[in-house]
Amino acid sequence: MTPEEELERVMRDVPRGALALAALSVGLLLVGWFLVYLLVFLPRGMVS
Amino acid sequence: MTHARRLALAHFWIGFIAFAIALVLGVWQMWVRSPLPAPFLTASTYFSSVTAHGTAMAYVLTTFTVMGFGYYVAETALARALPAPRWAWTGFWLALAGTLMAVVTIFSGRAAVLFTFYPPLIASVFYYIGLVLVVAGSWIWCVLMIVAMGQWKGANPGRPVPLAMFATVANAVMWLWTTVGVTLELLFQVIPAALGLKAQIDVGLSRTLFSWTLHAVVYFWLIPSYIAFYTMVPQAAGGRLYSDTMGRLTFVLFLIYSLPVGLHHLLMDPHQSNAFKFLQVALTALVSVPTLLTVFTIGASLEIAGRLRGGRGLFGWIGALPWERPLVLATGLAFLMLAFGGFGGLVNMSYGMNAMVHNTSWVTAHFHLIFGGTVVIMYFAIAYTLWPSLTGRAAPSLAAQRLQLWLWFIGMLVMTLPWHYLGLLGQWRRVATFNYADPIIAAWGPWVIVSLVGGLILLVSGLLFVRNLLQFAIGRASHVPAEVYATAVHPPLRVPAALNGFRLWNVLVLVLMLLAYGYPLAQFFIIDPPGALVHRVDQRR
Amino acid sequence: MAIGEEAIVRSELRWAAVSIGVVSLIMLALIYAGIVHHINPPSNIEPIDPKTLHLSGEFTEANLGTRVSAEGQVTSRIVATQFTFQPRCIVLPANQRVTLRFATPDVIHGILVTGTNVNTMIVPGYVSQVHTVFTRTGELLMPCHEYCGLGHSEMFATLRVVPASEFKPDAQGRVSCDAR
Ligand SMILES: [Cu+2]
Ligand SMILES: [Cu+2]
Repeated sequence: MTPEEELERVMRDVPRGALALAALSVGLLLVGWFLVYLLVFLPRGMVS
Repeated sequence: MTHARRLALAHFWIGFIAFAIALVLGVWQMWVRSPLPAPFLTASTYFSSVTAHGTAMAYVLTTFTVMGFGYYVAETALARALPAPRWAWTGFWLALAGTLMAVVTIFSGRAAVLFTFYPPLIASVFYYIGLVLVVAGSWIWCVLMIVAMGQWKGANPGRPVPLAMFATVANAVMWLWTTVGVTLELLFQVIPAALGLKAQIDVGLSRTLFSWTLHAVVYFWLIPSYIAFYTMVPQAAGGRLYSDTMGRLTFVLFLIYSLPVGLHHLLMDPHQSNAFKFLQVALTALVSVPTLLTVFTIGASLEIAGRLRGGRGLFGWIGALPWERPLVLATGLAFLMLAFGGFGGLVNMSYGMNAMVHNTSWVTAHFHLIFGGTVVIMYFAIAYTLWPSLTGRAAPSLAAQRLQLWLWFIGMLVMTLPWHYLGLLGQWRRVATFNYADPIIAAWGPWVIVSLVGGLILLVSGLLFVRNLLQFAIGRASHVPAEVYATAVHPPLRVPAALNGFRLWNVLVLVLMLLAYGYPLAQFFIIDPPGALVHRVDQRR
Repeated sequence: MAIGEEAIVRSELRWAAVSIGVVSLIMLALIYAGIVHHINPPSNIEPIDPKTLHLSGEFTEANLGTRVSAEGQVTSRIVATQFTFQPRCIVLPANQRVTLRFATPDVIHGILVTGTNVNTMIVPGYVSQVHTVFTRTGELLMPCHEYCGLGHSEMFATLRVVPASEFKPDAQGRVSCDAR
């Protein structure tokens, strides 16, 4: 296969892996943020 | 390369020397703060050291690296000689003179105000003038980058500016906007006070002006790393850049959203209203968009590389990547640290939630992860990538480069993970010593020592970095440097004018800045608050 | 190339939409915390002259510390100055809304109270104010968390949070650490 054909072949799968990886990282980030929000921040009480 | 080779080397070396010195100081500061007995400790040595560490890392390493890298990109990506190299050298000497002036002033004990100034504390005027000279040098660089792009466009009408140069000019334009805040603060408030011309300072105004600079300055440091991600990493990994268009859009978004967001550094200040704080927090939330776009685009570019190398499945391409290549390894480690640092930053910017962590070690952990973890590790990798073409020699050992990058990553995590925890417990910032006899503070002691171990690992890594660069002298000569720039899946043939220049975006920045900072700055002239008396720190009692 | 540039840009824009959705969730949670739990930044644009605050008005020495008003409002007034707090020990009741008011005659300071969301900068020229409810009793650390000069490391105060039953104002409505 020529390099162009190779690229053609992989581009049929891209960016599924990258999307999965990015979604997983952002999902973890969001979960982490809400854990801190619910378990540390809100219990420390009101300030204004 | 005609001019850029020597310019780039000179700039990089000044930056890296400042970095090495700052690293030693940083480790000593952590030692002092730990329960272990430390030498040379006085309040004056400690806070002079903190000032030197911050100044060297935040202003010297970064500014010189950005400039040196920019000269390299301008000549290689545009494939034409730099315009006015004399001016480039003028900028270099100006910035170097400023650096020396600031450093001498700090080490003489007359500038213990930290690199963020804190007026009405006022240091010797030479500290501020030194920093103004550094900035003036960088402005020359900005103009040269803009001129270089303009000349290229004149010679290549209708063709898209190469992405590396487009991003470099985005950074130059952003830096011109960014430095306006701190320059106004220095020229109209701090320097007149340091000269004895003014006895009082409007502190709310000075803090607001500094906040204008304080967020965008981080993107100024960061953009070389992003340029490497977009234009060099796909090539190093053996793939293609997934989308050149989105690369351009990302750098435009950084230019726009880095600026009208600085009030998130003043969330705990009394003198700004919740309305403007909330507005700028909302704009800050949007800054995450170009970052997350980058994660996706670079992920997809690496996925192309991994699949071309035979990786399969949803995640199999990750293992197939050439991790033995330093630039690829650095990118992986940088993204991991960006994830941790981004998490901390998300908490920091979270409006009322900022109260939980403001001025605690949590914040220190966050910006060391972003700065050391994403900015500096990519500076290492950029240096490793460019050094063969700058010195004409091949690296004698890639293993030593990989070891250095791994040590940096491990050290950074060992140092900053305890800091996050200590920050949540309430360990506060910018103190030389803690009273470990207090039962609350005594419980922190072991974690402080763990973080010190992380700092020592970082020191070893930093010194190994300098050694690795010096080792190029014994490398074999290599006169055909490999191509460093990546090709996009669809190399751009034409791009819309909006993505080939900055006129439109400058107008948008102006509008957003008026909206976000207009009243927050104007209010000080409307309410005319009482001034604070100047407190000099440079007079020996 | 079978996969066109438009398809690539479309995948990117879809991801950008997801990103905006994620940060919107966070923004909604922050609005919820602000409105329902009353956790907001301590903004308080209330000018005061740092050069004269010790001469007259609420931050004169006799007026510092905790005081209960005729209506039962608990307010503590504290001066942050290089390199100490006046007073260095403050008594406050638990499970009751209290107001902390700070001012400085000299440079920038700031405070946090360990284990709570109490946090504010103290900027010369303004009164800083935090309303809060302390839920746990005991001694809490209240350090200066902003660099204010060479003595910064030694600058901290103690908050003594006591059960309502032990919080006993004197005839003028004052409560201090020495009085116990
Ligand atoms: Cu910021
Ligand atoms: Cu202080």
